Amino acid sequence: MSSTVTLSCLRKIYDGNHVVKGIDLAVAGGEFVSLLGASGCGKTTVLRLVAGLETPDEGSIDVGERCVCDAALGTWVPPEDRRIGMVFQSYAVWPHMSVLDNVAYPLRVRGERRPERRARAGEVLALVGLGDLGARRPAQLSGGQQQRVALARGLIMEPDVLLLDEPLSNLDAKLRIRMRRDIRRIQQETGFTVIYVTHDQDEALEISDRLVIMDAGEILALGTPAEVRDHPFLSTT
Amino acid sequence: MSRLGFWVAAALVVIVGILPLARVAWEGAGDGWWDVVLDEESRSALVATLKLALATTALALLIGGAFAWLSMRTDLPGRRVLRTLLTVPYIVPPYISAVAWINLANPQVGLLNVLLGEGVLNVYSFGGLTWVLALSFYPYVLLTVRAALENSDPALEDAARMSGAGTWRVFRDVSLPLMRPALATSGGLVFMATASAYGAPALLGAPARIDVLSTRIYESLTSDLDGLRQASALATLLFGFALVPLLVRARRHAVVSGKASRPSVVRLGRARFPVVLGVWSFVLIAVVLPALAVCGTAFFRIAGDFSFDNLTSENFNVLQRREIRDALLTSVGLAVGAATVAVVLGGLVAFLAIKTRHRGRGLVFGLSAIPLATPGTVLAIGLILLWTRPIDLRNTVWIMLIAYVAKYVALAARAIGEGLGTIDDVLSDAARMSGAGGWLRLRTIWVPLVLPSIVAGWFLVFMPSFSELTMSLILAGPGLDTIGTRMWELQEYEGPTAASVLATVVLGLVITSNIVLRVVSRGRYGI
Amino acid sequence: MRRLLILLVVGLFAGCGDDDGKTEVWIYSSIYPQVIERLEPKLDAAFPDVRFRWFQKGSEQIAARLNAEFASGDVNCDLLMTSDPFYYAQLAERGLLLPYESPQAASVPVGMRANDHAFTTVRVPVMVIAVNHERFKGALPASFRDLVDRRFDGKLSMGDPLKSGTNFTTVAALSRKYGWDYFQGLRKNDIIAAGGNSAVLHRLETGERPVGIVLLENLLPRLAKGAPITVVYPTDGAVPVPSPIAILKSSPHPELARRVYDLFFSTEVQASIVSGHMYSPLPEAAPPVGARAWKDVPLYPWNAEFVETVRKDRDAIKRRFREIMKGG
Repeated sequence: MSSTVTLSCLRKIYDGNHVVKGIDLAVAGGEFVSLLGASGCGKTTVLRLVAGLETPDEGSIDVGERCVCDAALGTWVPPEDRRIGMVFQSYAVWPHMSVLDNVAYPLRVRGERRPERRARAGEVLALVGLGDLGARRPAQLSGGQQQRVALARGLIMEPDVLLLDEPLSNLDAKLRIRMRRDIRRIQQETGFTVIYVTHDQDEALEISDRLVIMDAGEILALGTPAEVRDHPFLSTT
Repeated sequence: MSRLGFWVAAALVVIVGILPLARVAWEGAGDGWWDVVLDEESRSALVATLKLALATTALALLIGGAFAWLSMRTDLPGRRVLRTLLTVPYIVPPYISAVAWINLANPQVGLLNVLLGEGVLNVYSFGGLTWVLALSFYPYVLLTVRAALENSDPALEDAARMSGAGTWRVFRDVSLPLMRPALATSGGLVFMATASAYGAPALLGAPARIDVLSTRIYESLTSDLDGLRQASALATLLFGFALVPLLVRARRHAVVSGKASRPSVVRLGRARFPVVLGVWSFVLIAVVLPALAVCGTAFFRIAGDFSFDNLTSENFNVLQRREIRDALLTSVGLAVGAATVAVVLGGLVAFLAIKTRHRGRGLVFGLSAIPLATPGTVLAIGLILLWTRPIDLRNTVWIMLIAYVAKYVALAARAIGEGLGTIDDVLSDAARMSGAGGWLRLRTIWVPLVLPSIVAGWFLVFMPSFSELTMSLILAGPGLDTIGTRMWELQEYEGPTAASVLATVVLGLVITSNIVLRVVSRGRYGI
Repeated sequence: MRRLLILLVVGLFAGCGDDDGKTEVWIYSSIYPQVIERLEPKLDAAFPDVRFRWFQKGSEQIAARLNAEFASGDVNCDLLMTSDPFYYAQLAERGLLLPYESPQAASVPVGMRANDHAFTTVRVPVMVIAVNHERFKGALPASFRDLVDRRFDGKLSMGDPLKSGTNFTTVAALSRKYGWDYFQGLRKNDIIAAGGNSAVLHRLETGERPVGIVLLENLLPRLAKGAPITVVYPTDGAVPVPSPIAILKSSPHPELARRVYDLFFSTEVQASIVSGHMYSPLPEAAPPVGARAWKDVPLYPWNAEFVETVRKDRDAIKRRFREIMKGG
């Protein structure tokens, strides 16, 4: 149910700019790790590299026992085959599908039958507090509700690894606190591995097993919330 | 998939559209090329073509852009009916519409001049020619922009309104910049199509003493045994016209970002009355009158005599002829085939150009438009030159299908490209992360999201293929006559009234099927 | 949707493959479709082993297609029957035609045959003047010469000689007869020279330009329908456009082509052609219904020398015409 994620010497260059500068990181199975940093520090790029939406210029990524990507060997597993779920900052809900169909989509991809996947989608929607909105179109939902649809779609896959890219950024403060506790609870119940990108240090400190503080494409610090709490970088941001 | 797709698309674009033209250009290569190109007459034709294409593009952008916005984004009364009505000028074949405008606005007895006073309007002028061409081509703009707007988020306009902007400012500051990429693209299409248009320039240009490249090319191709060389030299000048639109680049905004929002409209407010008046006057003059002029002629024995005794239904007897019905079937089959192939090929080309980073994608996208800027005569000749040996496709339906696809695939590619451009990649990424592979993403995410643009692109190819004339007259072998060639034949051999019967039938057929489509799909599809 | 497409494709394939082992003879022709319809049974009866394939379009499109086929090196056409005599002269000069002296065509006037029998006139459209007498109330013109009179200012139209072969022939004839001043005069009367003969007819009927230089064959069917048109056979000579038939040198079955060629000069087939509103080149044939007898039509004197001169001057004639029409 949960996989380790290992990044080795990961490097990404855009038009001569080194966006990710040789990162090494080992995430344990079932661990909740946050990538924390200001915008432009490369944290989202790391996430997209793990997802497979970007290809690294150097280095390799292993998920569990499987090498999904190795620049030197030319190994490459496309994102759809990595059994990794992802929740995007901009929700990425599909406007042409109902809320229920949005959430059930990963099951449809897997070829599950319609009644089963609808039932399961209903359950997950209830989990994120949208139990009665399945028939709606995303356009009829508020921003916060759409974000929860996106989260439900990530959860329903029961992935080995779930990547979350600032999934709470558009929620109001109260809801944000409730949702991050829910995420944490669900993760602990099901035990999948999470890599969580955020620029909100309180959020990161509260929710994570370990934090990675990033700046300019490099890892500045790595440790449990207690270990990094006093890192100078945090107080400056 | 993207690699394979790229090579398939590139190969098809080159084989279908570029090789025949290269073959023609090869005929014209040699010492004579510069003589033809530098000739005084060629140069004046080039300048006239350029002026005409620019003026037509400007007018078509104005008409198409304004109506796209008004019918999609405002509370203009009757905008549903308007959407269908405004496509009518595209359903009337260009050569028929040129004749209709001669009836309406010739200086001597044009019906509008009878009302306004003799000689007020003169269709035989630069302005007249521009007007007639712009009416034939503004639907490129209308449909492309409309499809793009259909996808984009009205919240953007709402935000402007909430900031205190009036209707005009909302349009100028928000809608117009959003529409700009689609305007640039479709303007490029109008530019190219005008440069290669033959029918209207031949009928209206000669009395107006306006000589353009396409008519010069036709003249050299259709008489002299050595005309091919001269024509191909002139045609290479037109290839250049296909490159001009590539220079105009507008920044694209992905407006379907994955944050869904509900549609809303801009209230016209005080502008409502003058806008309504303007819109419906335009519809009356530019849409209804010419359509009536076409249909009206079909019911008279002698053209131009509007007395009651002259009314007849006997012109419609031509519809009982077997060859006319065969032609109708041939044209329906060919146009459906061409539109479908063009949407698939054009969609692939557009997808590669806009959603991948494959090297050479822009080149393929650009190449696909060259045939549109080439007169049909030249393309048809090129296809005969190419498809004689070793594979002989002359007198088959395939050469005609290739011709239509080659000529019009750019219309589909650009329309679909516009639609794709408004969609944020994150929607596809999300499907990837849900485990969906390439084909599944195409089927469940991309196609449904760009469907408005696909439908628009399909119609944009279907219509001109359905009534195509210039190429069909050279390519249609025995048993393969189309509506276009039969219409031409009736016009040539049986006089002006018989041909308008077919034009009337085409008009009725297309409008009816559009209405049926709308009703059956509960208003979701249709033009 | 997919099934529909497959059906469509299969249907299209099935449509082109009726190969019954018959010899195919290709005729590229610009004569009236109805005439061909009447000819087909006669040809099929005379040649049961031959399948006749018609590429039936305007002379201009046929020339364009044929030129492309010459350039590609594989010509489909066995027999050619279009209206532009100068095009044939050019083909003959390049040695692309197979000369044939048909015994059936012996009575065709000498001026309407190529000297080396490379082609022979098989039908004769004539260019006349037509007046919509409801829209033009003045005195009718009697001749082409009259059309430069100022009373026709803004009343005239003709086809575009740059795009229509029959109109080119007319311009070639009239410019030789009267010089280019004549066309300066027409230009001064603001003549519209656009499109083909059908466009002239359209302008005539609608009254836009109630006087036109146009082919008789376009007028006759409209007269039968009751159009208010008076045909004027110009006293200074209607312009004939002797439209030839010829065998292409590349024809794979010349013997067969010769027999078809003969058939076109038979009394029966000539009668079909006349029913398509054109004169027959055979002196003994009846005129088209509603037209004057051939001997009563004053004609521009047609001969081989004229054809030869115009063939050489073709570009110059077009250029001059264009200049005059463009000039103020």
